[in-house]
Amino acid sequence: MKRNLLICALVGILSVGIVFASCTQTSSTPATPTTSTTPTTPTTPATPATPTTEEAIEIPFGTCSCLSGPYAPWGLSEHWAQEIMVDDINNGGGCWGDIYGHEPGFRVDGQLYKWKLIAYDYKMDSAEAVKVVNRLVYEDGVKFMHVFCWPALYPTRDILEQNKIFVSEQGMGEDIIGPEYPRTFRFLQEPNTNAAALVPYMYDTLGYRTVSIIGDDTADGVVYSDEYGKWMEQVGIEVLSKQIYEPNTQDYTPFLSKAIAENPDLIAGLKVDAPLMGMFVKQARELGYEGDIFMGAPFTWKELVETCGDMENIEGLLSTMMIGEECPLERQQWFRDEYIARHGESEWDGGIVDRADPIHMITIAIEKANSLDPDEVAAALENLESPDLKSFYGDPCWFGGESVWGINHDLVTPASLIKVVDGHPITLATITPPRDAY
Amino acid sequence: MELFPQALVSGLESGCLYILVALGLTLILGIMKTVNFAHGEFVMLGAYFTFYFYSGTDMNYPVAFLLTLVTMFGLGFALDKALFRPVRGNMLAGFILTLGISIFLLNLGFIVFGTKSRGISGVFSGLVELGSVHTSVERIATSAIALSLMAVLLLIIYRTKLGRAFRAVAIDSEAAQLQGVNTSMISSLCLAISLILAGAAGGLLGVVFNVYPTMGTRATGLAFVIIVTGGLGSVPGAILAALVIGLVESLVSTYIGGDISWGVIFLVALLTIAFKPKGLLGRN
Repeated sequence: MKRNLLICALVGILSVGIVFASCTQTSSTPATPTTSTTPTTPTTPATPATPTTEEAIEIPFGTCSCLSGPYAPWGLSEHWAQEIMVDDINNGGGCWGDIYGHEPGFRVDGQLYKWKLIAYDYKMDSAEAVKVVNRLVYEDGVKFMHVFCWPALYPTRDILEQNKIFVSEQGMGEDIIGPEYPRTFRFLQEPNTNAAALVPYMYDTLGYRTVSIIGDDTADGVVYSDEYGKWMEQVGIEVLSKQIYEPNTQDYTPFLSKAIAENPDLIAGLKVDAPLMGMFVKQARELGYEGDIFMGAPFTWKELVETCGDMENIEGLLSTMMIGEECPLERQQWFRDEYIARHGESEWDGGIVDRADPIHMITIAIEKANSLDPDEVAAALENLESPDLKSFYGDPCWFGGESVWGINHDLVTPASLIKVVDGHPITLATITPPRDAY
Repeated sequence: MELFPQALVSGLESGCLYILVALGLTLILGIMKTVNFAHGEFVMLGAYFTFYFYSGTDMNYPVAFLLTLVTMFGLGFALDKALFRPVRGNMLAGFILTLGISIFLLNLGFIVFGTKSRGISGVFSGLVELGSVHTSVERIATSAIALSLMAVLLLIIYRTKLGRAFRAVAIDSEAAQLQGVNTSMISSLCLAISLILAGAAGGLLGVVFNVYPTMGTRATGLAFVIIVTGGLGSVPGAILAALVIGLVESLVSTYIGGDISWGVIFLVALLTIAFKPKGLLGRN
């Protein structure tokens, strides 16, 4: 009896703690779904639907996503961007209409089609990803699918290839795209093209001559360090050192101390995970470093501000793979406003903008191919480029990557260099990578 | 900047925080004979409690920190009565219990606190330059608080009647009971104090680093390495090993490379066990 009372008391204490914590949370971080296989379909139209007399056929667009757990911030932002774009395509007007002057839905052989978004959470668990992809392919009949990162892509490759699924992806890593995967495309700014665009600017305009590189020991970190290091040396920026740290490291002082002792013009975090960037910069400032810091990946503004210790610490911080607060392009402003209207200002970040690219680009390719056959759509997309193709990062854009991966399935877009000025992330430069860089 | 003194200071600062994490774990192991896999999650809870008390209300940091310690003490007592007491003396059941609590709290953390990192900012400000060594008031203050708490714990253990009872239970629970020690109460207090130490570690780590749901995972791994290196259940051993591990981590990252620092830490632990199976200061 006494123990039961204690258990009740314990549950009570925990409940009060949970309620207190929930009430005092300063952000509107969404509750993450607890079930892995709850399909979600778009509910809020981006713009009022234009009445059509025709009946549109629904085509499922599946996503094997990460809607809960530590990777949920990325998975959710991808999913929410997809919802916005699906609504925009289905309803016409909005960004879709502005960019392409398009009617609601899309047509193949005169028939009107609309997307139906089906998303399942694989929780960054590869075994779960196999179940999710099986369900999408065999139960939902999905032929077009977005797969969140390599932990889901690698173990499901056979299923995807055997069933000739068109796959869109937005993660780094080896073996994501290649001639053996003719229907897989990556819609992500790649470090190689980013470095090819930005490093000459860093040398010529910003005047950097020496750099110390610090990066995490992951597939992404190695790619970033290698690609930026290669381009920096090519333009004449001396790489004084390349230090690699273990993932989950929180104390960067040993690496930063070594870098600072080298007295570089620039310390480059290639790459530091977004949630850790604030701490990285804070620790550099604690060690007395007053020079410039460049992050090769996008930061999440709210986390950066909350973890940097003092806003002074991040003043002048450089970053890329994101857009500035001012959203220079009209389509970026439209997307940001739509995103904020649905999920609140605290959820918006300049690095989210590229999540909007896959679905509308795939739709353009479907119309170009006048087919729903994934092979024909892939062939059409491979050859699409501006002005027929538009990216939320800006134009021109095209698909490259053949020199590295043997196939032009990597989206190449202009690269933005962001700088924190007076406590705001603004666009310092937007540069198109050289056509032959990738 | 000269690297060696900087690496030494950074290592000692990390070591001071590791002491708090490891002491709570070694206390439970020594007295309750329970391997607490949830210790890192208690560190995480402490960090979030401090964060919300400090950032979510108008409390100043010392009050928020003390309130966290009181909350953790209460939670420890309640957990002991409700969950730990029934499995006392059963190591396997204790193992499963703490593993379950760990998984539960980790997932609860994601649901309740969200996935984004938080920071306990603006508590201490200012930079300190000691010759060629750079550090911050924040790091010095958190290290000093950690060392003060360690000193209080050592005083309790070695200079009070309660501490004698702790040590007696750690050596032989039955014999202590025969001598009139209330072993049940000692175990409850032990868990409560362990949670205070975990909460304090979380509250201080949150100031220096980030606060996020998985922050305890690395802390648990590190704490296990420390208590094995120092000697299972040995409080002085845990303190010495925490400082050694902090220094090794810092020096290896500075001079050899951060990608192998974790490996070298485990190597140090393995070598210690190989040459001194009871750890640096372990007795039994």
